[in-house]
Amino acid sequence: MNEIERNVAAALKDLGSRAPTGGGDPELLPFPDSPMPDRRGPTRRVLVAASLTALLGLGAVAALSPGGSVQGDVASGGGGAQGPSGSIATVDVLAPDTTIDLVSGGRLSPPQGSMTPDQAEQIASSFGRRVSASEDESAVVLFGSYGDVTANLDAKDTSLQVGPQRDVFVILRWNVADGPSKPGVTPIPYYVETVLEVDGAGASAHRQPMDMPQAWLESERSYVSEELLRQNSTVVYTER
Amino acid sequence: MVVVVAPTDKGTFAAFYASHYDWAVSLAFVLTDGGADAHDIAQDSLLQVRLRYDRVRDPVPYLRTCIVNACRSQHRRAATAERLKEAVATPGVEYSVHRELLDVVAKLSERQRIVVTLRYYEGLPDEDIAAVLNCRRSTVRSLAARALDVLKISLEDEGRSVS
Repeated sequence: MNEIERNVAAALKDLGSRAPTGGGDPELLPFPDSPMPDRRGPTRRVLVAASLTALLGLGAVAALSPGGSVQGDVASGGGGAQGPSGSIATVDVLAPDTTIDLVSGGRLSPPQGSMTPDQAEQIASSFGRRVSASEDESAVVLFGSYGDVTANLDAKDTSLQVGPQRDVFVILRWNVADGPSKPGVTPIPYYVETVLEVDGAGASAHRQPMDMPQAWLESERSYVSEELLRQNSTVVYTER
Repeated sequence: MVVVVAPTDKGTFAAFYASHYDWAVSLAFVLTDGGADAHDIAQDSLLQVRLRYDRVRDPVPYLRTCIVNACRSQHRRAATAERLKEAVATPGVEYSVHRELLDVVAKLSERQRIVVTLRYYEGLPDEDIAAVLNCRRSTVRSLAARALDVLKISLEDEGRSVS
């Protein structure tokens, strides 16, 4: 090690020595074999789209009506290169027998990293779903959510798998690549900030990088406060 | 203080949790530059381990990767929101005599910062770092070299003598 390496090591060890200790409780972890919550009861479900919407200044609203139609409004809040690190917001709406229809609002500009309407249509149709998007609004794709659904979402064939337990939810898929993409290269949506699901038990956020879809499936949970929801959420209601 | 994680014979998850929780927190703490989310990251990562505990032969590297991935996600979120930026500042760390250097480390690119942390805090060999980042060893060496160059230049600009 040279001097700077020694200094870095010392600084990091000093920082690490200040880390809080204790407080962990394995009992707070859910049992891995516990069943998924039954989400098919008669109660009204409130789906809260993820908090990054407000934080990034990006607007994304989708009103869900299972079995009916969905209207989505996706606004980038600026050019694709203007957002943080060339971020691009996309919205996936997952609901059974639902059609997406993009209405007014901003555009994803540029739509790099997004699927073209044709691509979206192709993927959606492969699952018996439909997608409707105007020529320049390309990032909204609808997937059915009953049964196992797997869709390749990007150039690296990252899979998003949706298990049968989930019925309706909204995913905000954020492509916050390290800068605008290279020409001809589809950026990888490496992070999914999904849905906050609210019911009588409270709210939970499911977050998982795209490279760990299975982990996401198994429902990482962290509870968030009502205040956080109020400040940073787009609320989507649905009834079944 | 670096918490040395000894090779584990696995045992029960509860035992694994008890013996690795503080380490997980400290690694998350360093990777997030004193982030306030270290406990959450550790807990979430241990949850990932628990879900696969029976299938993972050595849970330590798996846990480490989960922590690194969680910290990367946390960093991205923090980078996009001033509110989260404020949240990562932890009282006490500001007074570190190493704050100046840590600030430079914090400004490294994400992958450079992870490499520096895993190399100089965790003491991991490049091969293991490459496994965490899913890249080649040569990439790790390159990232480390560039990071050290940045650190050296930054510190020289600030009038510190380095070699």
